[in-house]
Amino acid sequence: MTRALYQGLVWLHPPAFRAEFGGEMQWIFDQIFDEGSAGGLAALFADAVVSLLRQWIIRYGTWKIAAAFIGGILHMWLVFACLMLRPPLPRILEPAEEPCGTAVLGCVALDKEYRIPCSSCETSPNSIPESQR
Amino acid sequence: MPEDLGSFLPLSAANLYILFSLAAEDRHGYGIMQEVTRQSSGQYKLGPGTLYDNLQKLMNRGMVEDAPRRSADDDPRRRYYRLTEFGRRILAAEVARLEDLVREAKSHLRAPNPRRAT
Repeated sequence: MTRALYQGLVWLHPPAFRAEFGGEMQWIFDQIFDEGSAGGLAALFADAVVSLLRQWIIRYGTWKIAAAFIGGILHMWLVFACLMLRPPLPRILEPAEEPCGTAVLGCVALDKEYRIPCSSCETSPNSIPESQR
Repeated sequence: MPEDLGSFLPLSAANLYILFSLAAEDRHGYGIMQEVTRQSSGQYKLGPGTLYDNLQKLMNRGMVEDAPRRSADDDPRRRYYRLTEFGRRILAAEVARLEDLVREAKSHLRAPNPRRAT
């Protein structure tokens, strides 16, 4: 069982590394296993796990794939956050009740109002009261 | 082979111990691990993963190479490694660097009145 577990850890190493050193790693495990040192076996397993991470992440550049994946997720999150936080588009706050039918538009985020004259006011701008221009 | 030895120095502890263990004779991986433990009086222990990661680097840099098997009865999984001439020069350069460091450290420790920052 212990041997099979270590064999599995060795097998998980990158193929090139495994082909070159996997057999000898297993042989060393067998030697230490035969000596019957529990501390030695624990150290072997810890070393194999560290080696596994080191080989895949550092030596074989898998960190670049991981960095690209994390970068993609961050990018998507930023786009989503920007969409959520952007100022809302102007919308009609109230129906036009002005005598000339001027529509009142507002932007809540910018705290501004925009008055748009109705079509009849556009044709004769003088009909809009001075206070509403 | 690059001759600018300074670019390979200082060696990491693992590399130094591996080269040092191969200086006297060719060894297999387990032999290197045992020799490193002996040289460091048990204070530094190499696991197989660390050993072969460093051995791979040393072989790629031309400091260590494969050595022939000693006998046909050897376990076929067991490989022997030897120090190359270039590896021996690197090891000598590192030992010289460490000697300079130790000499300077001793001279500073012997100084009666160490200078203090003002």
